[in-house]
Amino acid sequence: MDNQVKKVKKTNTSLYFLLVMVVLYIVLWFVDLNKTQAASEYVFDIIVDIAPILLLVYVFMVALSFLNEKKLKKTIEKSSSLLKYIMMSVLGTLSHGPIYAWYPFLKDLNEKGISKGNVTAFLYARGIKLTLLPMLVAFFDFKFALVLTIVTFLFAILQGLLMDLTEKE
Amino acid sequence: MKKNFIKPLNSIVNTLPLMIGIILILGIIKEFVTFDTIGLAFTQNPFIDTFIGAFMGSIFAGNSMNSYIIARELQSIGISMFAITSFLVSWVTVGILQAPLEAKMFGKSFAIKRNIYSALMSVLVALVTVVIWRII
Repeated sequence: MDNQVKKVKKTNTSLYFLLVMVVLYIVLWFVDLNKTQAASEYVFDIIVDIAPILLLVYVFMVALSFLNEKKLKKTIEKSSSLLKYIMMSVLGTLSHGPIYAWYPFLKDLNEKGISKGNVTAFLYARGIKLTLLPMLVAFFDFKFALVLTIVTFLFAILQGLLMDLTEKE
Repeated sequence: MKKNFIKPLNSIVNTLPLMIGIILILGIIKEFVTFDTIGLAFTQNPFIDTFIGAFMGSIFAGNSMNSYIIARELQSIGISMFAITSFLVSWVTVGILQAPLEAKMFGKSFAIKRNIYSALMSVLVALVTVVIWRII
């Protein structure tokens, strides 16, 4: 319920923001017609660029939503120490939705013996957005997207180890 | 089953107002301010710019799609890929807005350390990523 309230508030804020921007464009239209027209064309071009990518992002999101998170959680609890960092990074990579929605799940894992370093690995690996890979590839290139994904994953494990070295349970 | 198709769709639809709002800002910046002015925040020194990118990404938050759109514009005005990458990484790994809740759940020390480590690591991730990307 609390999450739903937050979501509605967030959506309203976004809509107000969009409305302010539209009003600003109307005002600018009277200030400098040519520049506002050029800005509108630029906005239109970006939206046209992004639309097919969003469709692909949707396909990726649907595919990931079929993942069984409960099964994965049980597997992690049974894993060895190093494997836990890797598994938590994998789970972080596959997780979606707002970060605060994952805090209770992570807290629960932490209370069951998963270290704060493992939690850190999860949180850092959330920086990998598999569903947005098509967009990253379209804007930069496949090689960049691949290298960034792999390096971020490795640093998630590294940061987990660093956290366990410096933070007491 | 139906949920698997509707939830992602809602998620994308919910991000649209903010995303379009940001694209509208980009349009204004391009025509009225110009991206070159934003480029002045960067020094053309890739190492220093990587830190500037990490700092900028750390203070912003929101859907990663928006960071990609901004990053693409930064790239179009010649900002170094080191800076762009650290911007992208810190945007998604540093969570100043969520830090109070994170502190409440896992402790203040954890939240502070994690965010500092994430900001610093975004610089390292950028350096390693761009170097490898250029080599291969």
